[in-house]
Amino acid sequence: MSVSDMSVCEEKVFKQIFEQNSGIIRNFIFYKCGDIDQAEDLTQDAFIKLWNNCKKIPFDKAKSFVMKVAQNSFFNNVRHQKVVLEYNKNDNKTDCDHQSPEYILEEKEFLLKLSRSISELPDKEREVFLLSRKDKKTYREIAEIIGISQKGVERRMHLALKKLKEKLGTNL
Amino acid sequence: MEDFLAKWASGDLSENDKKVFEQNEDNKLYKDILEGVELLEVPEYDSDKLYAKLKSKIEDNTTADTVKSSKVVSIIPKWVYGIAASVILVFGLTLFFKSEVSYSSDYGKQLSFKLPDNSEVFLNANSKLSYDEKKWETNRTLNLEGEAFFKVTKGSKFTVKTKKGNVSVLGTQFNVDTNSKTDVFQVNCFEGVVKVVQGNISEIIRKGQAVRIVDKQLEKWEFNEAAPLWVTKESSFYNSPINQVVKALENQYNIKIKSSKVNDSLRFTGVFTHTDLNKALKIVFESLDVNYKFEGERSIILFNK
Repeated sequence: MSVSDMSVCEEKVFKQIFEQNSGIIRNFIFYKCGDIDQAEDLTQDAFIKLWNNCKKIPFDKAKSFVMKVAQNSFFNNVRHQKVVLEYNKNDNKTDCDHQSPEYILEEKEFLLKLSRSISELPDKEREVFLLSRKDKKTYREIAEIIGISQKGVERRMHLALKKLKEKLGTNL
Repeated sequence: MEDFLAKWASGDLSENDKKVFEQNEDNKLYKDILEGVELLEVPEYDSDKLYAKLKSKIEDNTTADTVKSSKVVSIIPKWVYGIAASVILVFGLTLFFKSEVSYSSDYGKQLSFKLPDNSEVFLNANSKLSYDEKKWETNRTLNLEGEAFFKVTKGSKFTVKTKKGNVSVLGTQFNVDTNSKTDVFQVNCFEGVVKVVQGNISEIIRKGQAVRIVDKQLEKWEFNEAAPLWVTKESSFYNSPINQVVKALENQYNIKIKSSKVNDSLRFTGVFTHTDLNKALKIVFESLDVNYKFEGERSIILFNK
């Protein structure tokens, strides 16, 4: 069975699409609105729409369909909050014993400021920045998700980094 | 360059550009930012849980759709609705014309209200009173089951009908006690003149007098209270058959009392409270020299000593 023959109406296929894409859609909406419940609701709604229209949508268009639906319903249903990422207290990447208490404190403070600065970025820059750095998407993939050119994505990424540096540079 | 930092972050800078950038004083801060982001967390995502939720939602929608689209086949022929409607209409009209007003009180509860002529009624526990609102102005007649105290405003004949007999008065206060389970029919007159009728027996009583008809025997006595004590959370009895007292206890405390093992000709004179069951039982049954025992939380059995 070739890819183009796969029917979205088959639950196995549908589930596969869900597993491959729902996480990134949910994060993408979350980066936009900052409300995790709303992000999950909109993701769910988008997949319900996909299921209800499964006969009309070929398999290879399913991914972009749910992305588009989720994004559109986000625009129709804007309920903004600040995107606040939590500092991961359980992360072991920095568990070097020789770190001084001052350093740990500084680091914690830096992360809090970083989180706040990210939440203050314009939506368009923040979603690119987080999709790239947290979800490890390439600029090409991000361009596909958002529906703009790769050049546009790179420009937003550049601006996001520059703004973060400026905010953190003056704060430190 | 508008995408310089983007290229640097994704590692797409040429070796040369990268070297130059690493000399830049801002480079460390940029690096800190990228490393810091790694330590920040996006709320955890449970794909299975969301999928399960999604599936149940989809299933709900599908069942709703099938219900909508399936054709409703009526098992009741259409003309039956016509009949049903007219039956309802007839019932509706009868109820409307009957215009009966009724009040009832629960176990352990009392109810007080005013009648259209401003007469006051206090309904004792587990009692029911009804009257026809439409006919009230010309015919002051009430139906009573249980016990009630009336303060009647002066006017036309005022009649209380019970299964045990009727009471009619002219402007007065009186108490009627009838209980379907006992054969007691008792009327206390607190003011004015009251006529009590049961079958062939007819008795007129005045202020401070009371009558009781038990097994077609009339008993008459005098009392001092200005209003029945049950209005103030007590029940008082004068030489009352034990069944009348037992029924009053059951009504006030919502309990069941089995009295078949004791002599039903016992008589009780006294008062019991409505607020303390153990005290009430002690007062009533110790003075009657009857033993009582709880069989359950709400069930009591009486037996002789």
